[in-house]
Amino acid sequence: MANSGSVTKPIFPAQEKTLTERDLDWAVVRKVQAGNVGAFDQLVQKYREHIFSVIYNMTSNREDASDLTQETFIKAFQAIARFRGKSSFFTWIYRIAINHTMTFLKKRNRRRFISYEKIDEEVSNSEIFERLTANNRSEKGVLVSELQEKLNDALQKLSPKHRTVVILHEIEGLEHAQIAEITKTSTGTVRSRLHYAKQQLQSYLQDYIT
Amino acid sequence: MADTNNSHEKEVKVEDLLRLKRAERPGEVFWNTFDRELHQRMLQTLVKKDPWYVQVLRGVSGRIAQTAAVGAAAAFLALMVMRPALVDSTRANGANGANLALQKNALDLVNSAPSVDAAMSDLGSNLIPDYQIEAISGSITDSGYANEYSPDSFEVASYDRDVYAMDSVSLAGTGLAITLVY
Repeated sequence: MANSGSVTKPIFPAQEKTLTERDLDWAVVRKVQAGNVGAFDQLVQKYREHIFSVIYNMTSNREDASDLTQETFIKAFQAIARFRGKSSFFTWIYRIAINHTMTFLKKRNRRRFISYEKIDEEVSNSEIFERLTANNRSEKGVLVSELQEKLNDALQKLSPKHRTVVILHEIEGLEHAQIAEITKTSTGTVRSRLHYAKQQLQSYLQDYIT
Repeated sequence: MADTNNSHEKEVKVEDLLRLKRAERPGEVFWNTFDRELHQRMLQTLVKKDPWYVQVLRGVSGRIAQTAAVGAAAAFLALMVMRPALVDSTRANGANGANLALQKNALDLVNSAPSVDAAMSDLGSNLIPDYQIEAISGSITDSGYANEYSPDSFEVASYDRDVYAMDSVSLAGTGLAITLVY
């Protein structure tokens, strides 16, 4: 990938834009609440990839992530009549997803079945990979799969709370305030968890950091 | 300076590595399967029956709510019917107080007056012999009957009630009332 623009672009825009998104989502939610069940599909199409991404990075298992994402939407669908719009739909659905995944991880306990998603081919051409291969003797293809494994492994070493914050901020591109709202904590807690998690990751991934 | 900038540009940070994870995305085939499965599962939840314990719980809670509603309505109705009577009884409490005072006085009189036996002996010796004993409860032999139906009052003697002043003492709860003639 010549540039990493498509990869690094923020998934969720700034606060003002989110407010518009919030209004749009609320209009769809009202349709569903009024009985237009088909309108829920618009919300699924809009959020499925983000929800899947969060859950996948939390579990490092694509099959589990697929199941949990579906269950998240089913839970949201079942509860949508009670959704009053106090928070935005995206905060609400993210919260459902994270709570559901946390419950799953507690049940799963120490058993871990890794099943990775295929990395987009664009990434091997990204600027970051160019830098990585410049510092590393490994072949690019080998480096991609090796780094994927190391990254997932490092994330799984973090506690679920720290992992959540890192995923939401660094991968999903959410702001501290949004994460605080989703996780029902303060922005201070979010910053502190993020700082600690990054330190941990830095030590796990020091072979790749220059 | 340029070298420093170059070296900064070549640095790889944790954030850069984590952003690579955005590239772990499923393809179109995955999403097609995902959508199909999700629709199927959503339809299943729409037609799925609740587990038996949820149904039982719902039934019981419905029954409880129904009973509570009927009970509340009955209590309200009873209150509306009983209220005038309660108000009357409250008013009558003043009169009852007067009655109680009268009864207390009478009881005092009983205590200070000669005993029934003495009264009887007086009747025998001093009064005109055309007095007749009208009823004596002692004739009742059946104890059950006596407990249930023993007379609340008995007159020791009666004769020309207008001439003799009479006081009646009733002992609440004992089922005994004494009519005194003096």
